[in-house]
Amino acid sequence: MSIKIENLTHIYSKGSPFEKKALDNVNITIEKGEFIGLIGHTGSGKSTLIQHLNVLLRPETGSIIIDGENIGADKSRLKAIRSKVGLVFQYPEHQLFEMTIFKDVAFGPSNMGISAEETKKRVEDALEIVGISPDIYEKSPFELSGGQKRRVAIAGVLAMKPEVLVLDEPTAGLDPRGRDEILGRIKDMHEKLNLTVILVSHSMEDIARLVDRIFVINHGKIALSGKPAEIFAQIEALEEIGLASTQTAYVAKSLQEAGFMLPDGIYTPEHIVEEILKEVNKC
Amino acid sequence: MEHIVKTENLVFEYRVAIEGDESAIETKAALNGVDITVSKGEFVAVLGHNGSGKSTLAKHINCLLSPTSGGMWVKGISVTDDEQLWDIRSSVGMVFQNPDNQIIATIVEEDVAFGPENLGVMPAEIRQRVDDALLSVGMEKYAENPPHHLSGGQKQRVAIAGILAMRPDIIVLDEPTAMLDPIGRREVMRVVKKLNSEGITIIFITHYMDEAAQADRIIVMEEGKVVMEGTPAMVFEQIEPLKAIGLDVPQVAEIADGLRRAGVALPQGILSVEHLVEEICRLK
Repeated sequence: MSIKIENLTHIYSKGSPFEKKALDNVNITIEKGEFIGLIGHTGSGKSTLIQHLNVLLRPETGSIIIDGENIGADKSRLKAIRSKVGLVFQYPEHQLFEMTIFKDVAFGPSNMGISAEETKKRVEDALEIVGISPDIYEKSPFELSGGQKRRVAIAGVLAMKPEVLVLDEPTAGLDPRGRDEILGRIKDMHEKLNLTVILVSHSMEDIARLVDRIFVINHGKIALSGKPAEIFAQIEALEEIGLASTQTAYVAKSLQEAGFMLPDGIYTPEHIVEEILKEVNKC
Repeated sequence: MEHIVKTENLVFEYRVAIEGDESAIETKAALNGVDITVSKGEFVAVLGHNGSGKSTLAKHINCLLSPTSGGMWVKGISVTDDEQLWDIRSSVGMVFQNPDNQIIATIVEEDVAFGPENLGVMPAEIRQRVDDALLSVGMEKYAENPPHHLSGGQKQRVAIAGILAMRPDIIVLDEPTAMLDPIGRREVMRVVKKLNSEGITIIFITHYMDEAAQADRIIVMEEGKVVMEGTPAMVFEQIEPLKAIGLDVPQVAEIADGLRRAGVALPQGILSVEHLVEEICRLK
């Protein structure tokens, strides 16, 4: 399932003194099964963009084409499109509300009119992939740790069987262990369920480890796009928009300036160690 | 050097009901024999994953929690001395993770004035303290703004100003940057370091290793105990033990470690990009 965003512009409070252009002529194409990173600081327009993907906001100017279908054109199709694109908001654990973990995850599919039997299967599958074991299904979701709560909330979206999963800052506020757990599970979902994943994050290190391609958004425009190696090499451009590359990229750049023959686009510690060793061993 | 915070075999236990059995109560130790000292004017970072006891320790410093056993002294006053509780509380300010939970007034300067007003400070003096505090965190331009239009980093700086207006000797910050974007994080770090350079003792809880690397000393907690302690250079050399308890190390330390393992002769204690690059250049 491909996503094609063409000339998308969105203006909040149009015609009022508070008018604000949140998206400014955005063009993006995402292929089926891709793992995309979307980076930008607060207020850059990334939340506005992802809200368009499952038509919480309808395109006013420009269009979004998912699987050949122009979404937002036909209101009667909204429900079908929303079940294709699952959106996990920031702090999704704030949306937990049911008495038990099982019921909370079942809420989405039951509301879609899916049979009890199929719902049960979907809930079990979704909880399995986020790593919640059956013996706690009947526990209250509010008794869980922060990281577990968040995984249950993500399972609630997965149970609707989306083809595209959009996650807004899924690691915010977690400790390193909780973060690694969530990112590992998201990687599993991408690989095992063949989902198209769009990961919104401030953390360059998280993005660096996972994604195929990155879009950097700034002032409502796509400022940079490309493979991680291409993006992380553009240290100045990232800094200009208030972001930073990985520490490794800074080391690589300084070494290049000092005359080391390192290839471009190094952004992980493992990679740079390998390249430095090649250089050092030459001498 | 003068100790401003000191604990001796500090234990804090709490009781939880055991599931399925209403009458059974289990005792768990959130702090299990903690011995630390913090010197006046020091900048100490506390690391540890969720549930390791860091926040419980922080809450003891201004007597939000009281020790089950063991001793704790703030500015030489025992925290178990109820008579002097308010002396301790007015010397120790706390900043929490979520900026939205800490701002109560509808105008920035009124929010900052809340603390000193409650301490019974004279109005003219409050005015002075509020202006000083906002200036100190770089938020003086927003004094008359409503706080909900501010960014996360700005709100957090307002929260810090509210603490400063009470003129504390110690500020304890419990994951103050966890909910902020990179710009907000940098703003808060800059303010924290500035306040520390002006003599305020800082106790800074974080999951971000690059922030901890800027402290004078790091304390690592695990299961209610202090498991590592030392300068950032000393602590971040312990890559394996840190990873074993689920913590990160800065990428620079990881690169240095990878090179050392491959037999490259690098000195210990490399924490900054500049230092690493300088050492590698020497090899050529």
